[in-house]
Formats: sequence, C-alpha cells, structure tokens
Amino acid sequence: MTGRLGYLARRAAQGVVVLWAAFTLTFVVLYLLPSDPVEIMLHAGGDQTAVDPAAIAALRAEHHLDQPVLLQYLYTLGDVLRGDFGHSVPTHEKVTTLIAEALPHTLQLALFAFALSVLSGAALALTATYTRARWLRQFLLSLPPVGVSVPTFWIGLILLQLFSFGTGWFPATGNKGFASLVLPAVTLAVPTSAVFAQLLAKNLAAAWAQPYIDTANAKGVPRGRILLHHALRNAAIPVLTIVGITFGNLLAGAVVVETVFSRHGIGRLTEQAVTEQDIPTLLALVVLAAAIFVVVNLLVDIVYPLLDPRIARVAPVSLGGDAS
Amino acid sequence: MIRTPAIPVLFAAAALTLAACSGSNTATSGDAGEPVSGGTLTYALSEWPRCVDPALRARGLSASEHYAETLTDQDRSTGEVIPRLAEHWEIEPGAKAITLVLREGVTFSDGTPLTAEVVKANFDNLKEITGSAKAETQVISALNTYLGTDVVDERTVRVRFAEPELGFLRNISDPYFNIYAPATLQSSLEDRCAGKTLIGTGPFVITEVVNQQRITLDRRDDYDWAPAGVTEHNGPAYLDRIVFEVVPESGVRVGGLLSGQFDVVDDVPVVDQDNLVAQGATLLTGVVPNLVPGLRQNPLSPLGGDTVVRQAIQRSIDREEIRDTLYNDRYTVPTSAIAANTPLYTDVSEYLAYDPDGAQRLLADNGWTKGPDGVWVKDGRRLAPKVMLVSGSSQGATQQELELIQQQLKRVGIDMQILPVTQAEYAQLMNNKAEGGYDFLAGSGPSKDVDFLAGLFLNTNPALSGSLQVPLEDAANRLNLAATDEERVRAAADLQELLVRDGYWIPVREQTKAVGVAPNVHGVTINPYGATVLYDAWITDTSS
Repeated sequence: MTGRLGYLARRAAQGVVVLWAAFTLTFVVLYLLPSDPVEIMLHAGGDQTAVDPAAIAALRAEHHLDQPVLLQYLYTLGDVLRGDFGHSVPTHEKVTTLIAEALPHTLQLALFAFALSVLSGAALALTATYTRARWLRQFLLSLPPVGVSVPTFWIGLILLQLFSFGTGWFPATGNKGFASLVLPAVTLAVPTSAVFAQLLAKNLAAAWAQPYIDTANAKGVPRGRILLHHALRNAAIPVLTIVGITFGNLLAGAVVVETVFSRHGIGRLTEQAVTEQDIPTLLALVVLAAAIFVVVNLLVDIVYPLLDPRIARVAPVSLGGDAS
Repeated sequence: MIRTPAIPVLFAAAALTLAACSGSNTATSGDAGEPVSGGTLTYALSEWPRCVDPALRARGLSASEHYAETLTDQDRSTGEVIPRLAEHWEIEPGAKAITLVLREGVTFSDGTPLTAEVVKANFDNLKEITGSAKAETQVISALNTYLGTDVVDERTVRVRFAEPELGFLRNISDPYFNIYAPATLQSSLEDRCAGKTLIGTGPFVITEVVNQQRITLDRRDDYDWAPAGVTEHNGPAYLDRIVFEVVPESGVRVGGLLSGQFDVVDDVPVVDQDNLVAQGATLLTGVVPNLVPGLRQNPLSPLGGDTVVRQAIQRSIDREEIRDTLYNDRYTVPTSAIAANTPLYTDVSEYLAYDPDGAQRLLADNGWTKGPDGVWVKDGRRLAPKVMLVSGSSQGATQQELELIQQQLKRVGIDMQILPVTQAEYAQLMNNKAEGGYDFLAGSGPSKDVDFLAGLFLNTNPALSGSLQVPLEDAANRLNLAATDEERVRAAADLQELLVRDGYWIPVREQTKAVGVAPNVHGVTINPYGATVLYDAWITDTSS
C-alpha cells in the first residue's frame, strides 16, 4: 500500500510543478504582450480623454509596474503563493472574489453536463451494441460525428428557440435554480457525450470480437449481462483516460454556453478578462484551469484500479516517463 | 449527414414589413388607458456596467436617475437647463461662482434629508475622486477649476471656481453628478463601483446587486419630487420592482422579449428591428449626445497632419450609404462633429456632403497625382492612410463601417488600410504618434455639454499631445475660456465648423440606442442621454 501512496504523492508533486509551469508561462506570455495595464484602465475602447500623469504614476506603483520584470514576477509569485491574486485591472475588485463568485455556477453547470454526457454517451453506445437491428445501430452510430461537428452556440440557440421562446418550458437566461441549468447543460453535454459515445462504441465493438464473449455466449449468459459485465468493464478504461481531457473541454465550452444563456460563471469571466486584457484575472484563471486538470487527472488515476485491479498491481507509467 | 431542422430560426429572420411607425424617442405603445400600479419589469441589458456609480467610469447601465438624482435636469424639447433637486440658482457676474437653492422636503432612501452640507460633501468628494484617476473624465473636466463650496444656509450652497464655468449648471444635470447620501460618500470606491452603497433620492432603491448578473430596484413609496415638466406623473412610480438582467447575446434578448420573458431589452440589432415591430413590440430609438463616432487624425503623421488629405477623405465618405447599408431609416446621418441633440449643436452638414469629384479636384490642385494603380501619390508617398480601431469596440466607427468607407475611398483613389489593434496596442501607438504607426484612429467622445469638446481638442488630450495646430488650439481655447453665454455659443459653433471643415474630426454616424419594449409595457421614455427611463412606465396584465 505504501507504493500506492507514494505513487499518489508523486503525482501530486507533479501536479504542483504543472501549476507552477502554467503560472510562469502565462506570466511570460502576458508580459510579452505590448500591454500597459494602466493604459487599459484609463482608456476603455477608444475613449478620447485626458488623464493626469501623476495619477498614472500612482496607479503604476500600485501594480508594481515600475519595477523590473524579474521583481514583478517574484512579487506576483509571492502573492499567489499566499493566495492573493491581486485586483482586477478594470474593476479594481479582488480577483479571488470574482472567481469565488463565478466558480460555483460553472462547476454546477460542468458537473451536470458531465453527468449528462456520461449517461447519454454510455446509453447510446450500449444500445448501439446491444441492438440486433442494423438500421438502428447505423443510425445511432452516425449521431456522435454530428454531435461533435455542430457548433455549440447553434445548438444553444436552437434549444432556446424550441424549449424557451417556443414552449416556455425553461427560462432563457440567468442562474435561477435547476430549470435554468437544464438547457445550458444539455448544450454543453452534446459534444462531450458524442466523444464518449464514439469511443465507447468502438471499444465495445472490439471487445465483442474477443474470445471470452464467445465463451460467455456459449455458456448461455444473457446478451445484456455479457454486455454490462464482460464487455463494458474492458471497454470503459480508454474512455476513462479521456475523461480528464473532456472535463477541461467542458470548462472551455462554458465560454460559449454561458454567453448564449446569459449565465454568470468562469467562462464569461474568462471572455471578459481576455477582451479587457485583465492580466491578474487571466493569470488566476489559468492557474485555476491547470488546477482543475491536475485534480481531475489525479481522480482518474485513483479510479483506474477500481475498474481493473490489474492496473494497481503493475508499476504505473507516469507522465514523466521514469518507470522505476 | 447533418439534417437541418425545419424550424423558424428567428435570429436570421429580418421580416420585410413596411412598418412606418416607431422611431420616436418618447413614444409609448399606443393608447392603453389609465396607468396601473404594480408589477415587476424585467429589463435585459447587453452588458454589465463597468461601474454602477456613474461618477466612476460607468458605461452601460440605463438611467441612474431611477435611484439617484441630479441638481438640475434638461428640458426634453428645448434642451434648456431646468430645476431638479435644486429649485433655483443664480450665476454671479464673471461666472466664477454659482449659488444654488435646494428643493425642500427631499430625503435620501436611508431617511437622511438633502441639505446644503450634503451637497457640499458630494462636490468635495467628487473633486477628491478626480485626483485618484478613477473618476469619469467628464467629472474631471467639469471640476478642473473647482475651488470649493460654501454652505450659505441649510438649503443654499455657493460653488466657487478659478475660471468662468458657464457649463456647470448643465454639467450637474449629468448622472456623473448624482447627489448621494453621506453614507455613500463614506463608503469605499470599490463598494460604490459595485453598486452596494449607492443611496440616492430617486423613485427606486437598489435592493440587490449580484455582480455581473442582475440589479434589482424596488419602488420608494414616499417619493414625491419628480422634476416638473419632465415626467408624466408625480409621486411614487407605478412599477413595484425593476430587475436589470445581463443578457449578452442579442438574439436571446430579442427572443426573450417576443416570448414575454423580458419587458424591455437594450441594443436591438438592426436585422431584428422590423421583425420586432411587426410582432407588436415598440422600438424606441435615442440618439446619444456626444462627439459622434468617427475618425480622428494623428496630428504628427504625414497624412493625418495634412489638411488637404483630411478634407478629401471628409468629402469621399458617403454617410447616407453607410446609414442605408448598415442601418435603416430609424437612424440619422451626422450633421456636425457632435450629435444633433447635444446642446449648442450647430449644423455644418455643408462640409459633410458626399462629393467625390470635389475631393479628387482638391487633391489634384494640391500637387497629388494618380499613380499607375489608380491611387494618389505626392512626393513619393501613396495616399494609403492607416486607420486603427480597437477590435470589438463599439465606441468609435465600427469595423463594418470602416470596411464600407474603405470601398468608398477606393472609388476616389484613396487606399485606406484598416488596422485592428488591441486596447494596449492602441494606447502604445497613440503614445508614439510621431513614429506614424497610424494616420487616423476610430473613436468617439462622451459629451453632453460642448465644454467637453474643448478638452477633446486641446493638445492636452492624449490623442493630440505633442502637436501644435494653431487654429484648432485657438478655437478650443476660446470655447474653454468663454465668460459670457454669447461668447460660448459663438465659440462652440466656430469650433464645430473648424472640426468638420478641416477634418480634425471625420464623423461617420450618430450613435443611436435602440430599445425594444414589449406590447404590454407603456410609458417607457428615453432621456437626453439616450438612456431608458422607467419612472412613468407601467404594465398591463396580459397574463402572459
């Protein structure tokens, strides 16, 4: 068991390195941009106005911008380690407050969408494999490519037209309880569930051709039981691997979905921070996204052995590649 | 195979109806009988205001007069300055001091009375904010010669200035000069910006602010001081509650209005306007008084600094074509550097007529010759001005407008280049304008009083810094220092003429707000700022 704990500790340490690297890269990139946050603060969108130079200098000092780059980096890193991401450039609000306000909404949305996409993806793949009707299988298997290729905002607008403006079943906008979560989550879930369905269906098909399925068939095990107990367990492992990546996609998708459905959340915050070149907020958002990736991948690593006990017994192959 | 569902997609449908109505700025949705009290109005905003408090760089929130009021107001038809929280006033000879007498019986929503002390504290506080670079620039400009306020008695203040300030009475009608309760003045700028501590005298009270999502206003039942001649009724407002909600996607705003989820929506896109009117909604339009969206020279670049070039461009732009192609006849073409509803506006449309032949003659007479590619050349320099705009900004001339202008100029032999930049690049190019990274920039300038125009065209403005264009500097200074009303009117007219004639400002369109109002909502008005006012608004029950 110590090996297992050590393995997790190593993965966690790698996670910290990933976070630091994400922070540093973002800092460098944002620093390289021809940008002066003070100018951004003072001239929004082509406003033709004059500002007192003394006030500019004061703002510059407030944001450490009068210091050399390396010092700015160290200042910022020090602040971040203490959990202080500074203040948003355009609004002067604390970045941590902004994120704390936005994160729960996006997490709700992402988790619900995630659950939907796993369930619908699995249902589609299993039905397609289980059914003996060729036409139904063909039809079901042709859905995932459509789901991936249709733009998310279009799905969102169509759903709004049908289920909000048309029938009035769901509100079109806002963060107003469960009803307002349904349409955005469905929209967000379409592309991810398509990925799950596609991959799972392929793996199920591969597993179905294995000799142990024939054995089970020969023993007279019912078709449904073979599917769920024999084929699915083996076919699910590759799907689990992409779950980590997919969860990140959900966060990225939130940018579009939150705009279409007028939901406040991390996606909208990101969009604003990018358009306004709000460096402190962007830096915090990148670190947050990296942290979410790290955590989800860690969780995936923990779940693997539960699905397939063999994985726990073999020395795991780490991202870094040392196979000790 | 992607199957295209055969359902009506409202977002693309611009119904070709010949709706000849709408387009006024104070209309209500027909005759709907006596106003009734009650109900909640849901208002879809296109964006969250940068700050809820207008004194702190607010953009986007409709009419702060719902919860806070100003000392003066503006007559809706004549544009004259009229009383609001101040009952009457007197300007001392020389215009360096103004005495204001406050209305009696006015209270803030926290119960504190409006007194001379409070007004003095508000002015002093604003002056203090101007030092922090966090104030709206108009406040800075309005108070740049402010010396102080004396409390004469409980209801009378005397405001003193170092220079003549004839524009002050109009400036204090701007929302930037909202008068707040002492508690607001003592709160932090962050809280004021977030709208958490704004306590005013308006007919509604801010009861809930959820950052980036919604602002809820509730009616104040003891409100009894609506400005005479501005509103249609007095006493408490009709609506119980107004909920401002942020809905960034325009299609969702329009769809939400038509399906009854919103009562009023901001920024109705041009393509949806006819459809909306055809389905029974009202479209209100309001021109925003300002330095109209347009192009400004780089005074230090060879092309931007050349009067002949600017005049040629001014005459080569077909503003009617821009209106007809990108907008519709609810929109107006600019007739001066400032919008037609800005006080002291002067019509100088004679210099804005589309005259491509005149432009070509002008260039030929001044030593320009046509090169082999049909573009004018002089001293080896092609007439290919670079116009920069902040990508995605709607403050100045937009990308679409510039693309159309590019085609129009091409017909004349001017090869205009569009240079989309980020906010940061924009500032950087502007700060290094001698390097000639751009020849013109797309922008606009907030301005309800033409006083502000002086600040926009003196070379203390960052867009002109480092240049000295004597005629422009003189004209702007004359407006800035006018000591009598006659001088001021003349100086304002002269400056507008100079700006347009010599192309110091190249107007493109008048900034117009289009607000959609549901069929069962009445009494919605647009104030002189182009902002929506809901004090007179009421809702008929349609059980929808």
